[in-house]
Amino acid sequence: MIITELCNIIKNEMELAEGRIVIFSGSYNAPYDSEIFVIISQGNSKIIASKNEFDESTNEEVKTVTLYTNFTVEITSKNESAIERKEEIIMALTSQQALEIQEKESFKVFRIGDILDLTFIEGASNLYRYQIPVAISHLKQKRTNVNYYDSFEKTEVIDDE
Amino acid sequence: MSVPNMSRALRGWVKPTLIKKIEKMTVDFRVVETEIDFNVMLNKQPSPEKTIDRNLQGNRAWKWWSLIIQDTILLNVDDIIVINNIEYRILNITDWSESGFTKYTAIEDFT
Repeated sequence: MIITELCNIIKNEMELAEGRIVIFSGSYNAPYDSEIFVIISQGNSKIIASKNEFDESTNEEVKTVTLYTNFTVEITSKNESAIERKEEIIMALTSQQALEIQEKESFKVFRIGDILDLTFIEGASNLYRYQIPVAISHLKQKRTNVNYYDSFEKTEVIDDE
Repeated sequence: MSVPNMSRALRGWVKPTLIKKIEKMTVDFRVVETEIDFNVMLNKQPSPEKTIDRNLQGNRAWKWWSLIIQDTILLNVDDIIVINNIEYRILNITDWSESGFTKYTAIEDFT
């Protein structure tokens, strides 16, 4: 999955420890310490194209959708690590490793948005929080078996006369 | 002056109970929940009405419980535990471990 690959890229490039980067879900608990914590979530998708094809070699219907999907990378910390290292997210997504993974997994980092400062949301708790939107171009494909007719019975017409 | 060790006094008041604590861990960047079993000496009773009266209006409708466990602190705030197939969320901990027990305030979990 693309979101897992994004996590891998950022984790490896920023050398984050296990558990310091998660995919957003309703059940994750933020850590109690002050160090960096990264949350990646998936947002809206824009449909660029969709098509159905028949693969004669396997007798399968191949359904393909091409999309731009917006992902959001949030970097947080109670200490100043998030302020100092937020740019490393962008460096990670444009790194050589990222390019290799994109080629291998057939997706492309299309556009990386500005770094948004969301620190004010946390108010007095003093949690530094930055959000980086990332648009990714990718395709999704599904194959299903379909009935295939390659022969037809001849229709018999009986004339009474 | 502090409360004396209550272990003997609690002996007839608590009973052996199996508690399943739901632990969260990150596997492949996703939060995975696993259950860990604890056998504890537990006393579970509804929270006193006076305590519930002091809560916020919406919170008073929740099912509040006081759990007394004859042990040092085993649970943390926001932990989810399962007792007899009912989920409880720990909201508060009073550390009486010097006296031989820990008191927790819990609600029947709403998720």
